Amino acid sequence: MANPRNRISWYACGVGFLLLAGTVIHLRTEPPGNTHLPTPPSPTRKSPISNNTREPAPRRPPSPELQKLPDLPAPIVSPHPTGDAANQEWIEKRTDELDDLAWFDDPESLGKILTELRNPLPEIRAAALKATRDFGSRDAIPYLEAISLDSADPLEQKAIQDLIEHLKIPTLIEESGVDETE
Amino acid sequence: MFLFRCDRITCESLQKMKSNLLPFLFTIGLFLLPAGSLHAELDSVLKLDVNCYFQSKESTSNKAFTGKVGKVRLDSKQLLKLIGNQKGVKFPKGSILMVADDGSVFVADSKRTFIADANAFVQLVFERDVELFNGRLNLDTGKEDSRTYYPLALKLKLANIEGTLHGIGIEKLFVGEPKKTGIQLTRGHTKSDINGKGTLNGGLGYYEGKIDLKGKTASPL
Repeated sequence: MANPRNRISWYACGVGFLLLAGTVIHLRTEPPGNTHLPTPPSPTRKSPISNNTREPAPRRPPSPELQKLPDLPAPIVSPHPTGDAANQEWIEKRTDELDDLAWFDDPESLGKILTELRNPLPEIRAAALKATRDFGSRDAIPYLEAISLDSADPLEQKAIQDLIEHLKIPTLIEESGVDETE
Repeated sequence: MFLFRCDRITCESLQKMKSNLLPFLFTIGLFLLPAGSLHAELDSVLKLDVNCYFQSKESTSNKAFTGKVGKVRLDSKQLLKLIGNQKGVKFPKGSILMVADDGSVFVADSKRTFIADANAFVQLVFERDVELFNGRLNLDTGKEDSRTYYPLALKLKLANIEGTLHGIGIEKLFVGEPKKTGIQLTRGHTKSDINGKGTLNGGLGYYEGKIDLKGKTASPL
């Protein structure tokens, strides 16, 4: 037979345990200072420059910095499915077109090149980056800075930053004081 | 093997061959002919991207000698403007610099039509006679898929810049199977890191950068 005193102490222990458990559950469900922020998504990103697949890289929506700049035309998107031989031909043709645009000096041609930095195809973005370098104008820098902020790929961001640094170097013509209008 | 056989040729046989000396020399010439010279003539767009380092400042005081090195960039478009300035002409918008198979440089319009010779200011030297060949060339059809390594040099001779830049060109060449129409497609792309010594505005200048030659043609057989 259990002693009534022991029985009371068992009840006390049980009540204490329940109180402790309740407190722990309360603390875990509603920690102090919780702002109820949703957990940030952790997307598995692939490098659009180094990947071997032709999947388009995730693009963020245009940043406010880019929206402040004069409008660029929309990038020209390939009509062919990725992985198709026709798509590869289209990429080569478009790359040649960007190469040719780089020989011009007008803002319209620069705009056509810069907009392709937002093309879903990594090959076209790489070609546009090369064409921007060949174009050689410092007018591209604000766009490059904004596009770098929008890029989800650190390698692409690095390539854009390197290009910005390159464009900041004075040209030989500037150094020589040659009159370009001649 | 051919040279080994030549070593064993006796004086008598040489005398016999005297009358046939010309065909003999011609045969040797055929053996030494580099594979590259069998390529279809291919004009390429010349893209240049180099930096030039120069002494921008230097001064000596009682306590120290100080100096500063400047850096400028030079690309094909600037080169085109400098050539135009020197020739006293303004080339049409979208004009490009092109280089022929023999290394001669010319200005063309955006449709690749010849405008002006630029050889007096820019020139490329391809040392094709010492090239390394990797790939396959079909001697019957001319079909080729290869990578060729050869020394090249870019010579600049303008009012503000002079210099010779050297590098090893790596050419990727693709020549397709001849089509029924008798047309054969050729695509070539050469890249090279180049560097060298020269002058910038009369002072010493060191150049380093890249050169890129890209061309394609559809030529009749």
